Amino acid sequence: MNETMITQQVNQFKSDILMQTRQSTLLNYTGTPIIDEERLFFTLLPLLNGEDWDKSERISVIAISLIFSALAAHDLVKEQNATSREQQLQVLAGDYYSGKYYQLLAKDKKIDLIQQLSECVASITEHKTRFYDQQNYTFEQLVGSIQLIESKPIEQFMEYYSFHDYVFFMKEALLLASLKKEIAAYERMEATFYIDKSTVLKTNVNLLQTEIKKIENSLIQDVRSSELLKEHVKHAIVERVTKCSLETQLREG
Amino acid sequence: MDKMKLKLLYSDLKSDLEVIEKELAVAVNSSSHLLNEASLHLLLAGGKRIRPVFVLLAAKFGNYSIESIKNVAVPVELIHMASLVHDDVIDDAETRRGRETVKAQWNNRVAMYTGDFLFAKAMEYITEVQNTYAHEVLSHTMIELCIGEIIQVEDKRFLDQTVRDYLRRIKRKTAILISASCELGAIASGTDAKTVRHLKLFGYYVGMSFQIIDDILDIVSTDEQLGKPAGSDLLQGNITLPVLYAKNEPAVAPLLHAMFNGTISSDDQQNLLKEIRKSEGITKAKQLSNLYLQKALNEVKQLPANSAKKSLQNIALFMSKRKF
Repeated sequence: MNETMITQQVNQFKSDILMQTRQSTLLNYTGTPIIDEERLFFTLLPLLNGEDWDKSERISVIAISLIFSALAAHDLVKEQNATSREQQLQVLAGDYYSGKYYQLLAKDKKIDLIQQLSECVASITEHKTRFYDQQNYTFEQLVGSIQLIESKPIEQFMEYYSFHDYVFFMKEALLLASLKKEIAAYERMEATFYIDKSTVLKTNVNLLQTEIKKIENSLIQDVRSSELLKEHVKHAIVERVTKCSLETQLREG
Repeated sequence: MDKMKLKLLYSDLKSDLEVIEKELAVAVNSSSHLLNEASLHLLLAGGKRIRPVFVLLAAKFGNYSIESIKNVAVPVELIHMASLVHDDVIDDAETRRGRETVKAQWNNRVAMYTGDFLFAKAMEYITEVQNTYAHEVLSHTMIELCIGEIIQVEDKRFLDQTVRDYLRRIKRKTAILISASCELGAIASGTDAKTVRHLKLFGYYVGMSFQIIDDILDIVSTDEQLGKPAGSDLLQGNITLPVLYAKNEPAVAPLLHAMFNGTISSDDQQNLLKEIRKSEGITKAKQLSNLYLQKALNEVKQLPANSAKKSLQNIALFMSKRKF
């Protein structure tokens, strides 16, 4: 499998997800749901690495992507004055995608997976509110929250289907991607999702940059020395990690 | 609504409703201080708990056990609560049941997370039910509920809508969750298919009647009785059944058009409410609500005889005759 085939796989899943979410009013006002291709790539790691993969895994990946689309839709609701029709429908888009994920897994009779994923969603909302409450969290706790928010349902999916060995790569890569996006936006003085809401992160941007370097170097090393990952997958991961290096993001603006 | 009277009506369920109330408090317990506060804020605001009551009563037609049926009663109430928190963001509502909304006390984003948290908790509970068909019912209900809300946003300020448009909207927005509460309670207790069907239809008809009454009360009640400003629906641009029936009356039509053109004064807004109150719209809407009530009572008649049958009948009658 080469990069073109990997891109085709990711695109195929993307169009399957979009098929599930077609709703004319939502399309008119909120557009298609947010699907993070990089997250999708890391969700598909076992498939891309040649693991056995049947209809259930396929359905579950679509369901997990819908969870992230639902959460992303709600993250777009403004903190104040969400009174425009677009904003009102953004609220409902998130609820609609949530219902779709539940329906998809219910039809596939994956009740135990629904339970595990619901726990993940509850946990994600708890960690998101850490950026809104007045409690004192440490730098490490907040970075831990970001990692959980970015990857927990995928971790659960991988554990459920016994793809345990992929969890580390996926979690580290998604944390890295998220931190890089944050720093890049912050440097460009654009709105950020986490840094803007945390004094601890804001006053430790240098520490965040060091953390990014540390994760990136260690991840690339682990990927290159992995006995699990096939060469084309190693290449694809390293390419993605380095393509969106901090320097590149800052340079490209 | 006179909550005391309603509580008397389901006094047979008192101890089981206490179990549900305690379980709701356990369900919304969170490691997040903020979510805990927001969820408890909602829980303490109370509510009629009509959906859990229907779950429990429907379950009485099968093998009733509060320990297993709470896994249906709790999630339907959590779903209802979650949708209210999100509705308040959509409606930019400052108060509900006389208390500040979550979005007013914190902000929209916290309200979104609170709603998402409650939805997730609802699903954690319902997955204790192993019947896969029950999950198809509930997931379908959640999607339909959303579509109902989507249509409501789309139909706002659209005066050319028909009564059928309105009925289709409230079916999804309200009746379907009450119907699912009855259906799921019956399924989870292993009730026979025929009884499940009657209970499902009963819930649907009661839900329709209930929402029409709710829409009438929004116009005819006082701010104090409602715990929010009277006529909120109309101010939000939601065209409900009394308005649809009254919209062509000479005293109503010009004020209604001015309202949706944004040229109405606050005095005329009050005049509009007064005119709708005096109009045939209220009477006609009550008649339609009664029609649904009769259909609900017909379904009850076909249920096997037991104590829950009388309770369903009484609650349906009370809900459709309530004054606020």
